[in-house]
Amino acid sequence: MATYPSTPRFIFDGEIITKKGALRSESEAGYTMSRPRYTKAKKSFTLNYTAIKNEDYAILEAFFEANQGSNFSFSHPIDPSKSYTVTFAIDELKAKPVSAGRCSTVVELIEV
Amino acid sequence: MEQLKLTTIADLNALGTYSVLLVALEINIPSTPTIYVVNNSENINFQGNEYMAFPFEIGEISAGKGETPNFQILLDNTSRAMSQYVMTYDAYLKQNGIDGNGITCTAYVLNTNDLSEAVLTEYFQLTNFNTDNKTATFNLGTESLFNKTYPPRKMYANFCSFKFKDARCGYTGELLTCNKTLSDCRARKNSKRFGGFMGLGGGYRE
Repeated sequence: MATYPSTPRFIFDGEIITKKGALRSESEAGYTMSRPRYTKAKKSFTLNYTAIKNEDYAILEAFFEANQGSNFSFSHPIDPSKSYTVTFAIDELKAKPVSAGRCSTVVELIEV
Repeated sequence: MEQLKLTTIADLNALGTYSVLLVALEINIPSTPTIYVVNNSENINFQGNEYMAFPFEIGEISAGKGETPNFQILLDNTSRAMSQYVMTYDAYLKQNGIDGNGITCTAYVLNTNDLSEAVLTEYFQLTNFNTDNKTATFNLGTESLFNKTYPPRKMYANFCSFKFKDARCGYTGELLTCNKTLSDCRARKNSKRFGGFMGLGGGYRE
């Protein structure tokens, strides 16, 4: 399984979402019955790359092209000891030029 | 009806609980391994089998006038695994016939706090199926007398209705397949026992 590139480094204003759904049923008497919808919570990650070099963007782009649709491992720098099996949650990788030779992009990953 | 454990009943009636109610399916397709899937975010072990976390949907039960109740199960087919199973099954039916070789499905509702028993167990038979690049759709229902073949044996000109290698076919050779035609039967030197009716619909057939 491929590993998500550790360079370029993204900045930490992205998001880490932990998703675990629940079924809730509200009664007319005012109480609510609830139970989890499934057993394991899943994470999703939004990674913001701001003003990275074009050659660094090329690394991301090459990885995106090679691994779109498949699963790969990813560790977030907040807790490098944990590794997640994820896939891209986006269909398009967009580069926004910010200055000569630099651009910004956002990558979204979702745990499978 | 099976008696549930008191702990399970307490879980089912609790206002808030850690337990999850999961729907698991055991699908038996002759000629392919039994499929164990559960609509969950991770695999579950139940009755000695590992149920794989797999996305599927169960449709509404429809019961029209004069029809037996039926519903659809939509299994994810992105990996085309289900297509492969269905094609293998199709080839199996051509060799062995449909009698006794239908697809059956057992649906379980499981309480994750106690996986020693199912909260609910239901058995269904497949009435028909189709696949596309996203989903494999199985129409499941109960057995209907209206769907029973009658008379039990139909007469075809160039199609043998015997199960390959069964007592009526009688072939004991090494070949593993038969396409049910007279020419195939002759190639196996078994045409004396051919189960078609060559005189039908315009006389002798190849």
